[in-house]
Amino acid sequence: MRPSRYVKLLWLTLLFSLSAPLAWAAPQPESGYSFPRDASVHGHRIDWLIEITMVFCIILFVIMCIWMALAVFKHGEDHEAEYDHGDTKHSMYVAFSLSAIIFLIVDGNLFYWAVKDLNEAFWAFDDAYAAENHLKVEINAHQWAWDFRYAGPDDVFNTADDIVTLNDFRVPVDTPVIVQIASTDVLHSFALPNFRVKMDAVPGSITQLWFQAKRTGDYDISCAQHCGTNHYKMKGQISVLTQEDYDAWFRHATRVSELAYDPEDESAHWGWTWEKL
Amino acid sequence: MSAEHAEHPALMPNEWPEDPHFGRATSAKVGMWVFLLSDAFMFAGFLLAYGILRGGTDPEVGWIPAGEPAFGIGFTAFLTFLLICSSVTMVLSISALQQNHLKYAKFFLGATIFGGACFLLGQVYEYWGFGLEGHGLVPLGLNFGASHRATSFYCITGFHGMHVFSGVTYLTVIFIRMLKGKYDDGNWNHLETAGLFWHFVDLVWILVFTLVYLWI
Amino acid sequence: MDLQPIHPDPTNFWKKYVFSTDHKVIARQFLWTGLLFLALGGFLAMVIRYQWAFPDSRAIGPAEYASTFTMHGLIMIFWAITPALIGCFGNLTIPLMIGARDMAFPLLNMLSYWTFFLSAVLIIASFMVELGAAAAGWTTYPPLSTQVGTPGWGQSLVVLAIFVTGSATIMGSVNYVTTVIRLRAPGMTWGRMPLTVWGLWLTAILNVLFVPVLAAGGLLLLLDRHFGTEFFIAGAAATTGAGDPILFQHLFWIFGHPEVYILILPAWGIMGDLLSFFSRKPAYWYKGQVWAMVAVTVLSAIVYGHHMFTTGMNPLLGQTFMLLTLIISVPAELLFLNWLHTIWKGSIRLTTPMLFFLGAVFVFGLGGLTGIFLGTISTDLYLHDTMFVVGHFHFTMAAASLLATFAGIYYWFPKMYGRMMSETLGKWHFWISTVTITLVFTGQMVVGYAGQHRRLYDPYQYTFTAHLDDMNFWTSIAAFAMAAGQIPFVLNWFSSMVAGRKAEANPWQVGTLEWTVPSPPPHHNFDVLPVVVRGPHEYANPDVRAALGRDWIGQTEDLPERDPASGGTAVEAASA
Ligand code: HEA
Ligand code: HEA
Ligand code: CUA
Ligand SMILES: [Cu+2]
Repeated sequence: MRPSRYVKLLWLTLLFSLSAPLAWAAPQPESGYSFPRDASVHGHRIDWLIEITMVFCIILFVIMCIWMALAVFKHGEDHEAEYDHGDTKHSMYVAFSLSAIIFLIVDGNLFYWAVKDLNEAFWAFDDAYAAENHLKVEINAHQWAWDFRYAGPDDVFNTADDIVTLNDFRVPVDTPVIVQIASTDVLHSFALPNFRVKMDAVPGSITQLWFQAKRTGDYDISCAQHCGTNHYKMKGQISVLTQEDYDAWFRHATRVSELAYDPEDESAHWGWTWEKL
Repeated sequence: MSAEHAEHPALMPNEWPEDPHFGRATSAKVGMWVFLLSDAFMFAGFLLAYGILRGGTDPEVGWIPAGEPAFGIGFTAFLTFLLICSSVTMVLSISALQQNHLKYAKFFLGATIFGGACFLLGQVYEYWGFGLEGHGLVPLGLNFGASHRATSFYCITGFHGMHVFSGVTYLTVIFIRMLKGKYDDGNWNHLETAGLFWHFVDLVWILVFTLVYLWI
Repeated sequence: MDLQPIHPDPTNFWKKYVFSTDHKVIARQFLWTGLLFLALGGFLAMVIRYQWAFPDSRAIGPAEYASTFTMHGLIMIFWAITPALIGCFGNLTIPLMIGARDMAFPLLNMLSYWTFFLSAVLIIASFMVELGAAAAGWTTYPPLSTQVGTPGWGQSLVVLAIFVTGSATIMGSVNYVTTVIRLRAPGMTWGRMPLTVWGLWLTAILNVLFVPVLAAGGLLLLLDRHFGTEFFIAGAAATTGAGDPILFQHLFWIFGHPEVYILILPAWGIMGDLLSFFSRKPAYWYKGQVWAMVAVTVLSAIVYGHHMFTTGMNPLLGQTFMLLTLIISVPAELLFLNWLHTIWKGSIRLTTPMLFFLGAVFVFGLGGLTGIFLGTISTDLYLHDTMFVVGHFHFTMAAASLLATFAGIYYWFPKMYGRMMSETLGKWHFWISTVTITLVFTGQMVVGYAGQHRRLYDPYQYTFTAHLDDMNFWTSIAAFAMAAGQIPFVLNWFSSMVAGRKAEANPWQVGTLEWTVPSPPPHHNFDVLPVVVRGPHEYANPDVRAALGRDWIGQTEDLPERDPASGGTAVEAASA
């Protein structure tokens, strides 16, 4: 079994012992109560960090439960209470060191790995740019859909050969994809649960994220930030294609876009000049 | 319960017997301090908004849109001076009352109110120019809602102006009570508490003046 | 010889029950209003759960759904828990516990309640206007909360109501802070104050400092909505210069993060005291608990950025907020350990209030621990805006604060109404509520862990969440059971009020000052000024047992037998 299974089992038995009928862990994809299937190169870092923290927390939680149960059952009305204000040097020392130990282990671990993961992966835009084959995409969020813009063959955004799609995001596998996100109306949040990333779309500014797919297939794009009545329907699809499939699509889409290009249509030219943020 | 405390006469809730850990401040004074802290955070909220908006302006566009009038720094410096003077007279009034010089206390309190009222008049002039040609920010085209500069200017100075207005009203009430002889016994607690508010309004103005007018 | 009453009792009905300046009456007014709004907020929660259990029923549309969760969150926070936990217990306990005859500013206190009442009217009115009540989420993020996203008067009325209730809160809090500083009875030093008062006092300080920031944000938002300004509007929606939507998030969370501790600090304080009272054992490391609460109060002001990790904030700033957020768990752990130590080797009385407090400790453990997951930017990349966050905050404030509120009601009911509540009904209420509340919020956590985002009218639109309908269905069933479980409470509340057993002055045998006066206390609280000689937690003291034959001693009681040779008793040594 993968380590994440143990965690899942612990989760379920512990927290769901009260609702036994629900406590089953079906296999992935998309049926158990664990994370959605991971399709990204770096997603496992987040999964691991959450899972290991879960283990720590479950241990603490179990200790806490046992402690409370023992206290209540062993030291009931018949038990004579101990006279202890707990303010001796010794007991203060114990309380302090226990909290310090919990902090150093649980929070220390979280902090260390979070910083490491951010610098090595999620914030490592320089590495993504450095990759020969990286792909840049501009995203415009609006109520309640996603527009995607590819630079097209000339590799320059906001020109006649741009590919523009609606709710249809295609990326090649094993390629770093850098996206810049804007919004025309209200806040949205571009979320790829299967890739463990999300980033808000903020009117008036441009935000960015990057990811790299490791597995082909179709996955959901979801809007994570409440954006009005149809927030729940602001769904897109990300398709991870093999390089050949992607290239074929790219050629085809370029032709279509060139045909559809209308220089008069101001609103279609929402793209911006790409700058490294 | 020990008997010693039964000797105290009937007490209002805020007149408990002296106990070393109470300190000397009256409830009203403590309450005023707490309220002023609260009020300071509201100003901080507005000033933060102003700072973030201003800090985030596109350098190419700039903070001051074309055609918007400049603030009259000289005139406002005079208003600032006026307000500082009124803080000084406030202090003088309290210390006069403390020494039971009622006449001086009344005089200086009146002067404080006068200073505050002049400040308010000055602000009205600054906004609307009393209908004089070429005077007043509104007639000159500084319109609420037209730019961040205009809007935040009116919000912050307007909010402060409301404080000056409340302060003048508050001091006037105290003044009337003083004229009626309510403080003839030399009780300066009310006056001091009102003074706290007045100094606060003054202090905030110095911040506003620095951040809104002097930051060009 | 007794002192005369300091302020004569009012005789006129209006002055006595409606426009009363008596802190005990105002406390009950807050409690009633809070409970009614708790029922309303609970009803809205059931609408949410109904929609998720039966997404195809189309009982409500997506627009109504947005209003439902928005108003649920706001009502629960500002009009249910705040009045019940802070408005009621603060007013009731602060003067009684520190030995004062009333608040420092009784008139302001009355004004605070009626201002709050006005805000309650506004919030009810917002349901009745065209286009419905607010729908931009309780966080009210612009531009959605401006006319761009939520036209109509509903959203404006709600923002106004928040502003008004904020003013009421500030009035109340100025009063709390001043009362504690000025009106403590002789001998009631800081080190002898019950933890309840500490918790409420720190809460009041946070309220005084940070509610005004929200008020400023709310005012600017109203200007944006109705006076043509564009502080928060940007992008294509903006017509003049570009405002900054993130600016509002700063203003909101500078207030919003302290706010969540505002809702838990009173609960922590009460827990610290009552765990000791019902374990018949001194609170473990009183000073440590006080310092831990002070530390949380201070830290709470500087961690708010953890709500904005995904807005694209500066990495250095993000890491700072991350570290500070994790550090705040140290005082929380310290508190927690002290509670666990307090009940350890006690002589535990499982009365209804005690059960609710143990329940509150249990769910706070879950809520606090799940908070840690959210504290780093990398885990937040996945967990932000999922139901995991929703589960986290329901465990902390909807479970821990709510159960502590119930506990406080059972505990102080005799002091408020002069009658005991039924233990049998109370225990039914406890068991149903605690079990089902744990199930409901665990259900939220599990679907959040599996990726379900929040605020979704139909969460099963996505392939990765389509299979979560079963889990959500059962969670909803648990939620309905939770609501049904409140029936014993309602029955108990009304029947005890008219026909409960008469309460004596000190039914729980505890030593804090409110139990030295009759239940309910006279208008002026104390006939004679109490003189406090020791801390609030003298239980199981062998000297006391020897001298008085009981396991507790009041804060004002002198120990009759002194042993001059040993220079005083252990009690005095401990409370020195
Ligand atoms: C009462 C309310 C309350 C409390 C007390 C807390 C406590 C904490 N919260 Fe929570 N939080 C909220 C209410 C609360 N929160 C709300 C309302 C939101 C969301 C608002 C919204 O978006 O709508 C939120 C959101 C929120 C976020 C943002 C998530 C996101 O939007 O992506 C984060 C991130 O860091 C966070 C962190 C924490 C932390 C670290 C604590 C810490 O203080 C927790 C400390 C506690 C412990 C560490 C547990 C105690 C220790 C033990 C149990 C160990 C004992 C065991 C032994 C000794 C053996 N909270
Ligand atoms: C303290 C605050 C608090 C409390 C107590 C609760 C209580 C509950 N909440 Fe709520 N909730 C929030 C604060 C709170 N919540 C917030 C801030 C949000 C976010 C909103 C947003 O996204 O903008 C939220 C969102 C939220 C959601 C997510 C909606 C979404 O994202 O789409 C859900 C879903 O399950 C939910 C469920 C519940 C349930 C089942 C309860 C149950 O525990 C309710 C049980 C209570 C009752 C059934 C009432 C009982 C009545 C009485 C006891 C009265 C008796 C009266 C007399 C005696 C006179 N809540
Ligand atoms: Cu877009 Cu939610
Ligand atoms: Cu927070």
